Amino acid sequence: MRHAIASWKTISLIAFLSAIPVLVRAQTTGTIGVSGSVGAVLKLTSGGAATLAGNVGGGVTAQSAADAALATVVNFGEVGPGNSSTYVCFNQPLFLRSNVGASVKGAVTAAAFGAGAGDLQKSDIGIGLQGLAVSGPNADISTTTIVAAFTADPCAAPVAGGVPTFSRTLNDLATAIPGTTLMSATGPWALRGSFNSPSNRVLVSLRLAIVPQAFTAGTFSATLTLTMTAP
Amino acid sequence: MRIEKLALALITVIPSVAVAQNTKVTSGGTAVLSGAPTGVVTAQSGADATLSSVVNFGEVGPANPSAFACFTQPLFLRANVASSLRVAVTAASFGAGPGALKESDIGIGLRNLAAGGPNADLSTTTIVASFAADPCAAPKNADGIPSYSATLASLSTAQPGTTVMQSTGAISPRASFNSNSNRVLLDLKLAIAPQAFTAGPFAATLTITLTNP
Repeated sequence: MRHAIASWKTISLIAFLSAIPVLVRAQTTGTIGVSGSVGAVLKLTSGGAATLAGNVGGGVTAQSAADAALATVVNFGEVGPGNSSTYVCFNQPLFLRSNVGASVKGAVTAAAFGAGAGDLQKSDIGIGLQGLAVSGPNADISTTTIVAAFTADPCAAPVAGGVPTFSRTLNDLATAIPGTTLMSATGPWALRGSFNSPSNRVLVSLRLAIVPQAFTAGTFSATLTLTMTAP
Repeated sequence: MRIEKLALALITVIPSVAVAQNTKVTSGGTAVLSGAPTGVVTAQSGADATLSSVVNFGEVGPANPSAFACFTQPLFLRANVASSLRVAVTAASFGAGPGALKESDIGIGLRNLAAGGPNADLSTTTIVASFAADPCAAPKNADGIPSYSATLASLSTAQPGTTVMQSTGAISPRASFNSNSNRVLLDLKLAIAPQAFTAGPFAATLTITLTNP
């Protein structure tokens, strides 16, 4: 009998011990921490074909394709009395994208204008931004403002006695890059999508205008540099 | 005589506790991040150790030219009962603006389901359909915006979370719970398609739980 009891004890102990590992609670959870960031990116490109109207002997001599780096060259041609147009009007479409608040600034450099009282000056070239719009559902202009003085169309400026009154001219722009703020946004223009997407770009056209007049004969030239900055 | 009764009682009780219902989810090995030039897996655990990975996707804005930043976390699963794999998103920190990267911009999917050996059984296992697609190969529209089958926005914010895979039977019918032969292998994938999201950081924690059922 004692031997039987001892056997039962042994069997019981073995059974109990063999069960112990199964009672240990297994690993039932784990974690993955996820993080990342989005850096500020700005993009200003050509918005397509630039045009020149009302010119005599002028033309757009170089330009880049839509969404390519902006590198346009325009020759206004004859802007003296030999041109009978009311305006010589240049229009440069622009594409703007940014994922932060941004400003578009303009600066006039390499300016070469005559010094005489009758010479065509920077103040004789009107400038303005027109046609602000979104290109698609992923663009947002709700926080965008064109600086008031640059909202007028220089190609429709009032003219009295053959002399226009532009709201703003190249003379209002800084001569150091990045220059004078033309428009700004407190929020992003592009909400998502590729930075090459047609759906998240903001469209705006930069216009320059000269009213042909009896300027002193001569030539003029300048470079207008557009820069997008944050903010 | 009293000892004999005690022994009999033990034998009677032990069968009811000897095969406890257990589940186990652990790291399945090295986590991998691709398409993320400035990202890195900053912490992870060894194979079969407690899952505790930390991944920084790095830059996922327009400055990242990759089609997808893709994270893969191998998992080992074991269960001697029916089980469900659940995932919850907690400690989420995302921007509020319409252009900010959201939970819905992070695709999630389970891939490469396989038995680790002869003692693993997948015959009753099903990945929930929407989580069966590879987020790192999600289709994109013309604007570069992906259409994920499931995203972090599809997951519950309370643990144990949303069921992403389930088994109506045991996936580990026998062998030690540390055996290579009875584990189920699975890759959890996360994907972000770099886009013109509004600048800013984001963070979240995924908690993965294997429950019964």
